Amino acid sequence: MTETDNPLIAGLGGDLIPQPCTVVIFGGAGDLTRRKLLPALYNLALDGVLPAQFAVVAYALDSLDDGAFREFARKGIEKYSRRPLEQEDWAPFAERLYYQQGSFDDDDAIAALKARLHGIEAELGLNGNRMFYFAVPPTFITTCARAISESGLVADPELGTPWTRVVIEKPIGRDLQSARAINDDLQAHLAESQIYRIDHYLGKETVQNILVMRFGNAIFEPLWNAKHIDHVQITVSEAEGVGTRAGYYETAGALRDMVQNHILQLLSLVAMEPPWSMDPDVIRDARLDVLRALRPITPENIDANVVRAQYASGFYQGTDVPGYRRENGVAADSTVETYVALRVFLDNWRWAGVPFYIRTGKALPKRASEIAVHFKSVPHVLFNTDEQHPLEPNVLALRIQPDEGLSLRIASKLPGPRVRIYPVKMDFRYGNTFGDQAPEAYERLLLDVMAGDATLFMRRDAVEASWAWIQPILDAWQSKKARWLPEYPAGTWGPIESERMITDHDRDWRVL
Amino acid sequence: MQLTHAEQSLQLATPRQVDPGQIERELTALWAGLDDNAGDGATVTRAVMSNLLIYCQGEDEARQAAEHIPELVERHPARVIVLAAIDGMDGELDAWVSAHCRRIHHQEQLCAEHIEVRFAPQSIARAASLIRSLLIGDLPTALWWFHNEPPTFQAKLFDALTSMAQQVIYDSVGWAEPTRGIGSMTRWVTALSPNNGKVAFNLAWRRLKPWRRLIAQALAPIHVPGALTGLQRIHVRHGPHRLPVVWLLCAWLASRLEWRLIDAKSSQERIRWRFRSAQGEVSVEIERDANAKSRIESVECGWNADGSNGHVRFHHAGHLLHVDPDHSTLPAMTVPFRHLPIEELIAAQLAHRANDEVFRQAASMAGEMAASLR
Repeated sequence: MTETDNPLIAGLGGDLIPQPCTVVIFGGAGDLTRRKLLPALYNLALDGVLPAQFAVVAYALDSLDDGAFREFARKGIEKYSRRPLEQEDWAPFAERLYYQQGSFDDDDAIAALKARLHGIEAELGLNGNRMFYFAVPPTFITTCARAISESGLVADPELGTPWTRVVIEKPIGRDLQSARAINDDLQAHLAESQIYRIDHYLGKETVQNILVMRFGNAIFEPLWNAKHIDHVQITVSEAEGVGTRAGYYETAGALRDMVQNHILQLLSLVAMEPPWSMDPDVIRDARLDVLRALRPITPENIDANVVRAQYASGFYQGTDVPGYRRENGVAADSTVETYVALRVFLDNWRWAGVPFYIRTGKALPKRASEIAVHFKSVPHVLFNTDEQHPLEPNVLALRIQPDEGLSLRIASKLPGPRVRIYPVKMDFRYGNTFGDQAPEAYERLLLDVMAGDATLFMRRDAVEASWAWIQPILDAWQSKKARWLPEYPAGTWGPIESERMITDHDRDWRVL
Repeated sequence: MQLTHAEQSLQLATPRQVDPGQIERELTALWAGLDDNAGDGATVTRAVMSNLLIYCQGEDEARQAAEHIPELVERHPARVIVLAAIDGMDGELDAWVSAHCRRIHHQEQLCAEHIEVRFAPQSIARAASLIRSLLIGDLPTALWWFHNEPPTFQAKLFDALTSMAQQVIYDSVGWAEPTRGIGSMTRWVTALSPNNGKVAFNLAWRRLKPWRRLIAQALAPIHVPGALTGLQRIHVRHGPHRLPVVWLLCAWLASRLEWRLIDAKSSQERIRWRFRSAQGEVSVEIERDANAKSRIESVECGWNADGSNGHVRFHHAGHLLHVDPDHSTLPAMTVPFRHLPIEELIAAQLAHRANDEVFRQAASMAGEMAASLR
């Protein structure tokens, strides 16, 4: 809805005012719906940013009716919403929630869903704009796409209105070949412009702030290159072990679960060239260029640049943690990595010779995600002449979670007659300054889909470019047929091999 | 220095009266004291996004304003300077300092400063010199005109304070002389150059946002082709003290739809304006219902689009604004309407520092509408 069409819309949030629409959730009785999607929609309703005409239709196998689904939603929102459920706000929201039972591959059930959608839309005066959210296991994605397409639930993408947008959760495939196959299947039923591949990391406020920090401040960008930056560390650490996700994790591992999507997206934002506009495709092109500049990992250099490991038994905050192979649902001889560290280079002008150290793992000492930009040391003159005790270089750390914010380490003179230099940390915390009530990532992302803004979603070419870079690592691991992986005790920062990978180059992992 | 512990918040028990020339030194001592007394290994962090000047008239207003500060700085940490003009004071200045703290993590306290300066209205130049010395550099400064009278009615004082602020926030709700106040304030707002870095906001405008959202969506050309261009009649019913809000709503519609004012009539409980749109005359009537709640109760619109008539009645019920399907040719629709406490309105407004051209245009039209009643 533009100002030209509707002069009253000016100043009301611009493009973020979505048109009336129906949100149809496939897998509407599942965990993602209960924990994330419904609380996000409820909070959007509280903020008054949902369209005045709006409905949510959940579609799943579970035997529920509208009333039971509303109760399911209420419990989910009570437990997971960032703001408490208030009866007077809940009642009008609940009226817009509907449930339709059926399976994804049952033509009769899909036909019944279609009839129900038409009925609800006629009753509420909705014009057929639909956002389908596939909150389903990856194996059902193409089944769902085929179902909505063949039943005539997908609008012609050329028409503009009514529109159809389809949100798809990661993972898109488990390797390059399967990712391409899924994308081919999706595009047999949907136009690329109708597909929104979600990576909730991109919806986090602090991740979006990376671009603001880089391109909204004059002091950083001139230093943001190989001339001034020694290296970059990206850490996504999880304190929990594999827990109840063993079934999925055994088919994935840390590289697929974290690096292929979240971490490569973070890397893209940190390393991208300045986009020439805020147009979604301009920004996505800039991110894609980073993925295409990644230096390939080959069988010859993989050992020097990639470390994988599994957690062994250990402790987390004083509590026993079993080793990965002893977790429920994990094969006793599993060689799935729960930790991976990489030394990555971008072969472009800006980042020539600057290593990006990436690490992610489960059963590490704490949950933390951070991007740390390590600047080069000052020359060994004036204050940096003691080779035994060189000055600590400046570090700009962007904390994604928890304690979202950024810190800058600088050298400062200690008070006194002598020149004694001490590193001090200037710390900015989002929560302290802006309060602790930042919107959840799903709120922003769902609103973006309704408004048709694909900036924070992954395009097919980006998904496949990241898989194309990951694939040689997977292939090399496959060919090695390792029976054991290096281990690290649960509750520690990873295996010794990971330490060596970075200390061999006179650098250290940051302690988070 | 004693801190009183509450579940989530800590607050200095009493403000301390200080020599106005020593305020910065007292604040430094206050921070040191907070650190020493935090206890339990806690750390004290100061957060500040703005300098916020709050203008009050009299001690009672200053007390009322102070009650909002803890909630306000929780949303928008700031160095808050309450300026209380006290009739009958001598030419000297009195000052108090305190801090508002809250526990944000297990062992952290986040604090914001609160300074109160009392002065005689005729001593504004002296007070302004003190305020200038207290503003934290590199941060935006906002003036919240807390006193419930159009700021332009006290031109000298207002000018002195606005010269230090980039953002001026006032509230036209409850003005005793709305027509005169709207006219006077409009002249000031519209005289602001969009390029001089100073912006003005009326909280009444922010309160209108849910109404604007609903009307904009319900009458969108995509749903009701021709309704906006074919509007012929608007009738708004409101409760006590809401006339300035309703006025602004009508001015918004008139300015966005590019109507030209023809004339106006007013009686005890009603004001009626006639406008000319591209398709004919538009009648806009505001009706005050003394028995209604202090809010906009309903907005009715009628239009003719391509020869067929349509109408809609929007009304306020509980936490929602509705399209009433029984009195409309449009389907039912709702948007939430939360009563926002003043702290939340101010904090939201402080975060929006850019010029709002839609508001400026609406304010300008409101001024024309006021002039037509003289």
